[in-house]
Amino acid sequence: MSEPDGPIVRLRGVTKTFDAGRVRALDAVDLDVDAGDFVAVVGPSGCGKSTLLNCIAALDGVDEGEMVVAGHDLCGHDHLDEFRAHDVGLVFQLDNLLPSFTAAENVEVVLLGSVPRSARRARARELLEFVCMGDRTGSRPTELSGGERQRVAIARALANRPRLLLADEPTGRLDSATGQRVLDLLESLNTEHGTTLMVVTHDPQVAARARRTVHMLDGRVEPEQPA
Amino acid sequence: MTFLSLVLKNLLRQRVRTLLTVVGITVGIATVVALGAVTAGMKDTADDFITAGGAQFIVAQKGAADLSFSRLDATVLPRVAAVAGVGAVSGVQLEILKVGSNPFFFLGGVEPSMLRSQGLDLTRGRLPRAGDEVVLGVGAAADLGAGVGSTVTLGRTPLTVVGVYDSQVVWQRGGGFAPLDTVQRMVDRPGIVTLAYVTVEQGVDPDTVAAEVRRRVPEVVTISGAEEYGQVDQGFTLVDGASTAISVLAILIGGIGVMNTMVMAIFERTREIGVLRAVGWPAGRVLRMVLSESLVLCLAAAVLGALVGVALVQLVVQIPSVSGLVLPAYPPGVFLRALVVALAVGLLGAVYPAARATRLTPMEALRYE
Repeated sequence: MSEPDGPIVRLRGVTKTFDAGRVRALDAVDLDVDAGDFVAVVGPSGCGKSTLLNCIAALDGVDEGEMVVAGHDLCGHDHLDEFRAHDVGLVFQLDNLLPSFTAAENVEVVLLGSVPRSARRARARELLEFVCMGDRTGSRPTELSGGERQRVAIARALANRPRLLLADEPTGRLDSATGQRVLDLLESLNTEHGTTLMVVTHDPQVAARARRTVHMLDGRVEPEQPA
Repeated sequence: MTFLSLVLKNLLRQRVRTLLTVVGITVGIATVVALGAVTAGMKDTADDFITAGGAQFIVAQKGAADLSFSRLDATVLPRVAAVAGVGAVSGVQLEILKVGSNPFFFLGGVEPSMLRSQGLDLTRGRLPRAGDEVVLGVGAAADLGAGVGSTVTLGRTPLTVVGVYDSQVVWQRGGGFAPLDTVQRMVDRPGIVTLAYVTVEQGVDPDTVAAEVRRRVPEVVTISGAEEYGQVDQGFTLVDGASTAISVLAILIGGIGVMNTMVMAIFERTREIGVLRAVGWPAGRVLRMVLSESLVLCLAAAVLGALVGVALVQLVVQIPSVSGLVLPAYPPGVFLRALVVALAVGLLGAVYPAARATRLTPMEALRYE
């Protein structure tokens, strides 16, 4: 599997239905995202934003269409576990941290089975320091605030050094100031480290940070207005 | 964090549930170990019994439900002795009596000339020569408070103790020997023996001789080892069968218990499994995690169960009526069987939850409420 010289995300005619075809969450979506871009996906509730992100992350399959992400043909079931393990990072709206594990262990768990123990520890420490959580490595999620948990979740998403970071409403449950700090962190990943960033959001302030905004409505991507 | 620490952490999240599951399996494993130790002890006792007279095999009545019910007419013995390759045949009248606190006092009636070949280590006095004389095992002598010169009543017959012996064989230590005709008179069965020890001539294959004895004297069975003992001892077969049945039950009941625990654990952690799949854990690693949790649970129970089983057996054999009957044995096979049962329970209990955990797509698991 090699990375082609094209967009890091390439969707053609991607359709995803639920409820035995009665609900059309994605309707023949075409979308290209270039490597290094920062894209905000916006639209009303139920328009298919999260479904789009989940399909790009290979968390869910699609019914029709072509989907090539980071060189992987996701519709051809091309080693989806490997794709998720090495090429993509995920930040959920809910942090989804494992409650009985410490912040460091929540980051390490991504690398378990693929990276030696000492390297896992070092990587977890490095990432938690990067998200300003270096002094909370031994804390469990219940001992952390919402913003701190989301920063640990971002550290976890970066554990595998992904080229593509997908975030679904990463600030949706955070207060404004904490949300801004999380956004600063995500933006720095894009500008300083070249990580391609796709963020699903309702928040115009979040969308305003992106270099490109994709509008969705009723499972379709709206034609983009020239800048 | 290591894979093992992750597995242990997952198990310790619901400490009480994990503990109760371990206790449940421990009881099953302890039963398997205890029965295994008793069965192994019985086999050792049977082996000791068969070779006690320095014989290669014994003959007993064909079809007897229990060795103590075997009745051989003494006229059979010369026919056995006439078989080619047979060196010597020694009839024994075996009686089980309640004497003192021991309900299983083994009294052997043996020709005085054959007593020396019984492998008894005479510590005091001498062996019986004739008449109402008896030699007691050290256990029986202690139990009865008897010594050389004492008179003990066995059944309703007073016998003079002429010697005391020691023996590694548990039933010999708790019993005694008297002349054959004395014991036959005591039980009013003159001319009848329970069994006979057969010694084959040097250089002759005992199995060939035993086969020939069975062919020439069809009313007897030959017993060369513990594995053939079931032919004349239904109790032996029963305990062996019970041990196997309890092992199977332990697997089924334990398996259901472990499955219950693991199913609950996996249902509760469905979202977490979704997160692990979402960050790149392959289904195989999730499967390994679930199986490992189940196996660690059962291996812990195997260790505890083995310890509890041994402790229970050692406690039970302190009871005098049991100590004279069986000496438990702990061959590796007893613990191997417990380990196999524990692993079977672990695998059986993990099959469904593991299949469920790996069948879900990451999104299905993440959406799970």
